[in-house]
Amino acid sequence: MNSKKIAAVLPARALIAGAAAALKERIEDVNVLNVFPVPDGDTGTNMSLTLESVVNDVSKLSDDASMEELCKAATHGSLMGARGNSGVILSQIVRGICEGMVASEGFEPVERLATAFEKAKEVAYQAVRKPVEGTMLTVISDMARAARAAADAGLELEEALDGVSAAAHESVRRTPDLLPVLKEANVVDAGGFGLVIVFDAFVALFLGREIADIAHFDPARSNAMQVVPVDDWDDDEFLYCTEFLFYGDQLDKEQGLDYLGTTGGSELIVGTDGQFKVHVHTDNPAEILGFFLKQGDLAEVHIHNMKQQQEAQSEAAADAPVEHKSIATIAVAPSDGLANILTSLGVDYVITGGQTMNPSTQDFIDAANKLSADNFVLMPNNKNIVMAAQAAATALSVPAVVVPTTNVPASFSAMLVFNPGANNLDDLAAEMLEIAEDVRCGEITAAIKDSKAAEVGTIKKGEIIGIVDAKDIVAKGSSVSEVAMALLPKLGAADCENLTLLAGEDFSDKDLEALAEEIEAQWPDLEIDNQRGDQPLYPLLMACE
Amino acid sequence: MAEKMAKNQSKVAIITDGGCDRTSAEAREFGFDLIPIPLAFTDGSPSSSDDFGVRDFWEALLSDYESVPKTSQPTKFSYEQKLQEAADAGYESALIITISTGLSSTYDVAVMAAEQAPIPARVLDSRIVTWPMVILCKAAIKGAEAGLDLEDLLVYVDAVRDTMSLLMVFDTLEYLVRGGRAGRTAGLLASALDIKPICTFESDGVIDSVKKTRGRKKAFQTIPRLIAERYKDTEDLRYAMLFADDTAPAEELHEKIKEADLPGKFLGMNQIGIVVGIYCGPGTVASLHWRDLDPRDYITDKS
Repeated sequence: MNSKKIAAVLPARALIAGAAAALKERIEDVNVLNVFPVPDGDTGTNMSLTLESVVNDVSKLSDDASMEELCKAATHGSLMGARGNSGVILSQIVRGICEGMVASEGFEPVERLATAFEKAKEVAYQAVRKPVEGTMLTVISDMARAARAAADAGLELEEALDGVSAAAHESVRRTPDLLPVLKEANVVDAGGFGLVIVFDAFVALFLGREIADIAHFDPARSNAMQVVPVDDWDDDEFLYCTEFLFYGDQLDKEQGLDYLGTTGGSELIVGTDGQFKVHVHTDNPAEILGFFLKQGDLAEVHIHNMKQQQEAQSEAAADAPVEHKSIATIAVAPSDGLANILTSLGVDYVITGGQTMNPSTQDFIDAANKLSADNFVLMPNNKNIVMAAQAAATALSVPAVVVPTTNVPASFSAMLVFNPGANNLDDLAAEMLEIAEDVRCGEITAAIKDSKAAEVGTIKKGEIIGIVDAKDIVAKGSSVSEVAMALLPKLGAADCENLTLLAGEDFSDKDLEALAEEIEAQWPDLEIDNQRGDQPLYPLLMACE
Repeated sequence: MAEKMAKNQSKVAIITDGGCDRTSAEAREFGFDLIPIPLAFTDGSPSSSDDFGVRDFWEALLSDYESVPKTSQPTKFSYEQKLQEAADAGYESALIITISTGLSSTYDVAVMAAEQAPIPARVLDSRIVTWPMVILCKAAIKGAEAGLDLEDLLVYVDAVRDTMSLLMVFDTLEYLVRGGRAGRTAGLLASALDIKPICTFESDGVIDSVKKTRGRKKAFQTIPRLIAERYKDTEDLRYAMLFADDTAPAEELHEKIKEADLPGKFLGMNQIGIVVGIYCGPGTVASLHWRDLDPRDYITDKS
């Protein structure tokens, strides 16, 4: 990809890339709006990765691609890259805008804007079974209303875009009034905020305004330009893909590009105001870094050996042929330990991911493509991955169902009733879900920020907290074992026969044994199965059934 | 020799084999006969299920797996001899009920013997093993005494078999593996979790897991549910408990069944012996449910 050329020939592609880059720059600003003080599915990361996938697909188009081709690529890219619920909703918004743009071809620009946003709103609401207000959905809805009002009032495009932007900002500000959980946590909705960042960047680039203009929400942050990392490591001429940020007032971009052209290929320099991102394929990264070091400062230097990368990819692709199955199962787990348990229960493929890294729709499809089966059962094992799994189930060319498990132990139980010879996939999924829903899951982690929760009051950063069914913080304390004991009654242990303890990577075998003994003494009727899950961030998962 | 034959009040002799885990003497008290299963110790010395009883077996298994004798199938000659004894004792026909063809080829041997028998003889594959075979033999006696002829009796006993459900919980799958009988349960062996499958003999007589549960307590809680599902509103339901080396788990499961307030008349606790015990191992527990069908419903008009 060469953004410089695209910017000159195909503005739409550059606009998309620019908007994606703007969001990527603000990822942490969005992530920090997490309601829960736990390392949870990160909205900013998910939305950014979703857009990155759009940029990837769009960049494959030829220079003379039509609007229809562009929309098709954007829709496909966003759907395949969709991660987390926010990513899935964003992908639907992209799809709606694309459909609206194609459908309104030939109309006045502001009418097209209104049509596109109304379609985006419609499609986004359809994607969610129980729409919740005070989220991205409210924001897209308010944007659509503003766009329609602008069209009705006969505004010029620039005024209309500013009007939509203003409505979006107001909508985001209003989200805490609509969603009490936001108010309690003193944040605005992360997804809505992310949407505004993307839209404002798009508008700024479209109208030729300074990128700096889009930093409405958090002026304290620097506006360093960054481009989406270029995944083009298939260069057979040069060995190293070299990328870095360069800070220096004296750089002449043209001169810099000329220099890069003499030492490598695929050269790229983007940015303004003394902040640049440099990308080049070369056999001599040291020389290039030296050249830029003489003129300023470097940051975030990435050098990848493209040959090794390619070999690793081909090795992965050359895996032994897989056994053909009538029904294959795919589940998500955050660690090798949990993945091993799932595999021992017959799960055919485990996608690495979970709390902090939500797999995308494409990840599910890739997993399915690595297997050979007539049908697929997908278990997301996290509420924030359910929608990506559902999108994948729809996109797969063979029948696929999602058993919407919201934690890993739930999928253990679901596998106990998995029947590889089942005739009716929907019945099988229903049976698997029924047993999975009987599992009450408790998670223990350390709070990542000061917070408060209805049941336990004030929570200090670093304090150990116990969460039930991934939503309610019901216990806190100074040690994992203390919180575990407090969590048991909340998990309904008195009505359960079996308790699974899954030790995280930071919880030792010794601590696990000691905890199991303590539980056994206090809950003699519980049959305890303690296992190593080695999951990150959560020293202990507890599942009662 | 005739006096060795068990007596029942009908003209049909009922003959089973040592797969029912009883000795010939015990069987005779119930009114049927059996062919003991030949056994061979590791050093080659022979024995039979009549001489090496249920208690001997568990004692041997718990001390040293290798000290347990290997089972083989009864000979065709032993069946021919038994059928001759039945004819000599005045029986007009004989019904042979064999251990499941899923576990042994005794059925084939019995069929060959029955074809050359001095009296009409039919062979039924019980598709099951241990105490349920005794139940089927008792049902056969009841049917014969109710006047069923050999053909009707075969249908009747097979119908009782169809009403049976033997739900077993193994404490370990290790013995199934050692004995090479993991069969359809093989997939569970690799599991990292403590999974207690509830196993049964499928209609083809092969062991399969009907339900996989997490831990023994969950299994014990699940069994009454499975029973309730199958036998809801069954008035002629009967049941028995089976245990391996120890009665405690069977008593625990029995408590769960009683608590669930299911229909069914309890007919006692019985010990599993060598034929299936070598595969299920110590700690195994099972519930056996069946319907006490009325044999008179199985009399067909031959005129």
